[in-house]
Amino acid sequence: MNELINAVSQCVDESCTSCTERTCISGAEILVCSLLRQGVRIIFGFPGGSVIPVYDVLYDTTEIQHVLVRHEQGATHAADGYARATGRAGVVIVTSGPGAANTVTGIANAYMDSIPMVVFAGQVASSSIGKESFQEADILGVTRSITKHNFQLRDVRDVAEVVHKAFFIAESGRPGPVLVELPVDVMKAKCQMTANSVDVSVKGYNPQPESGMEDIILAADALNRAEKPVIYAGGGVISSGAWEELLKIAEKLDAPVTTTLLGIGSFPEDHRLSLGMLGMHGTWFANMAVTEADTLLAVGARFDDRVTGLAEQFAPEARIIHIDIDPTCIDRTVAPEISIVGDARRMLSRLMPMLQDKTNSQWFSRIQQWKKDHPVYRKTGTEKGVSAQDIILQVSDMTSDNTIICTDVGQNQMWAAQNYVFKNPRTLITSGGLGTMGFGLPSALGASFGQPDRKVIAITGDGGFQMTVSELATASQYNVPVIIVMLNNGFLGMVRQWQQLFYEKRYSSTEIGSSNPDFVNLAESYGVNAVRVQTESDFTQQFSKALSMEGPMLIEVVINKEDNVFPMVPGGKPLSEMIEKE
Amino acid sequence: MKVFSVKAEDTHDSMARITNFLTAKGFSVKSMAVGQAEEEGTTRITIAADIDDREARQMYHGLDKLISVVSVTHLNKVSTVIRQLVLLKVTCYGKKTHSVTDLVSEWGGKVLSDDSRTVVCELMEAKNSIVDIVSTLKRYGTVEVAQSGLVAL
Repeated sequence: MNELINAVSQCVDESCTSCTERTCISGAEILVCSLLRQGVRIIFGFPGGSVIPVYDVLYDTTEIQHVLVRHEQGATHAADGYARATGRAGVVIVTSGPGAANTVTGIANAYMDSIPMVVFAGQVASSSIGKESFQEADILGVTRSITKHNFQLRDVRDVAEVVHKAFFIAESGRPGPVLVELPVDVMKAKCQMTANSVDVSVKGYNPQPESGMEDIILAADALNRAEKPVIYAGGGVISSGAWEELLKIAEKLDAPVTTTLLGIGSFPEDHRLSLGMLGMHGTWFANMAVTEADTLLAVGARFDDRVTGLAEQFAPEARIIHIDIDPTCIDRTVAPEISIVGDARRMLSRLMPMLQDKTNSQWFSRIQQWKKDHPVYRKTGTEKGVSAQDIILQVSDMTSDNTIICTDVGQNQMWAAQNYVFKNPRTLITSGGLGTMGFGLPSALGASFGQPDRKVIAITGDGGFQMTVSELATASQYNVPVIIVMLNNGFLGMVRQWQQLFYEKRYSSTEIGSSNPDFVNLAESYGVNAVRVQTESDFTQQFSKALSMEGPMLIEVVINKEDNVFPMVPGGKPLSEMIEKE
Repeated sequence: MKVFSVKAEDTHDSMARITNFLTAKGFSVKSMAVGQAEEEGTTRITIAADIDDREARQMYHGLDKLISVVSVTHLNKVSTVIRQLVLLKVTCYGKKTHSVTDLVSEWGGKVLSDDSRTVVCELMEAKNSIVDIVSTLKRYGTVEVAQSGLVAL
């Protein structure tokens, strides 16, 4: 088998199947050979009974590094982080039943954020399916609505083809997760492997739907007439690699750019035209610019409720142009005047030559005045705790532009999004659509495996951190150079904030500080360096030290207990009705 | 009523994917009819839903996005023939089957069996007037109904 794996991994012709056609090999061997053909070199997983045949092949396969996580949810988040950092599908292998069920949150997370991922889930033997066998779960049924597609292998002769289809579907069009179920008998059965990774086609699947030129001409005309344009860029700009086109179009039109949470990094935030993030916790000036814009160009974004606030009053003055590769995203919550279906990069490239060089000095001056009068809200530290915003600013100042920031979910996530100055795509990795607490640490591990030459920082809170804290063992085992900045306020902070603002400070089940562990001791027990800081100067010193370390490090920062994220648009209100500060 | 003709791969889980999508998105489906399509390995599913134009666009694109779906046609937009087969069984109070058979003939239906107490008949319905038909027949006995669902081309 070693010889075969070597031959497959070294063969440069992707259409070649000569090595694998020579002899009958097992389904597990075909699976691993197909993964090599797909260029997979890292898998995140956790073994179990039904996938032992696959793990047995991986045992000899030095070309693929298997990263042993400590919980299957961690595997999916790590694969997710890997995919966001690299642009390629993250790969997960787990066992049947509980192993597969534990991936559900991570798969749903990837689905909501359009992240390419291929999950291989074990399954009981074909003859035992449907008989309530040990560690059996109908994972196809469970994941049907949270995957782009899923497959159950029923014949060893289909293994290679299905693997290649899975990667094709996951990575093409609007990306997303694909699950492949591996019944153990199919993994043990043998046949010759003939399918290659080149000749993949999926009947009825059109990953690149495109509008005609007439819609692009209409959009160009609207944009050329605009006096108060705004560009609203989402994660689709990053997944399609359209950031250069976005920058050129913004400069050509002299149009300010606001991004969604997932669009952060698609436009440099130190650029004169940057408005930062919009939406519930967007900047004051981004939300007001959208509210007053006469023309709004939405690219690779889906008018999510956290972005629009009250959808009926979103961009009320604007002619809306919506570019998206997924036609179901168009006219779902906000009806555009002009809709363009297609890949963001291709569509922007077609639009660009039709646009005039514009200057919108009055509009620009108005926005500059807003920026001056309503800057990003920051609260300073007190003797009881430091300011989380100041910590993020320090992280931003002390790290290079290609540093990858992975966040958890909640206040820590919003403070990071608001205060770190992102300048490059694929530098913010965060759970947007699903809002999955526990995402921060494992996604940072995945990002670091994907981009080993870049610094990766996990920004998390004491709540989310504990949801996947067992991945400290993974960080320790592989000596992953991730710096974990844990903002500890002893609360499930974002829920507490809502309780403070809208439920008369009735902090129902959000206080966790009294029962939190000693995080420094906890991390050290896993073999991870850790330190607790209570002042900004201590943080600067410890963070500087962490930046030069080769392994993982946890910095627990004791922050103000009841600091809030502002601005905030209360649920169901239009963007213009922000609570600006305390 | 919006009617879609969906051609899908004839696999064990194609229908599950379609119904899962319809349920997840909360579409109010009134009728589904499934049968083999003209091409081997494909199934044609006719879906009728009580939805507005915006929802119809979402349903169209959402169905089209499913990997198992080969093609979707929004039949309200093209020249369409819509039919539905209705089977009715009327168990009459006393010997009144002749009244029922007369009515069925009047409606253009066909009596399939009549044992002087129970009548089974078929009707071809283009419109959903089955409620009125059942209401009328209930005067003569207990009524059971089976409908094929709308089929259309």
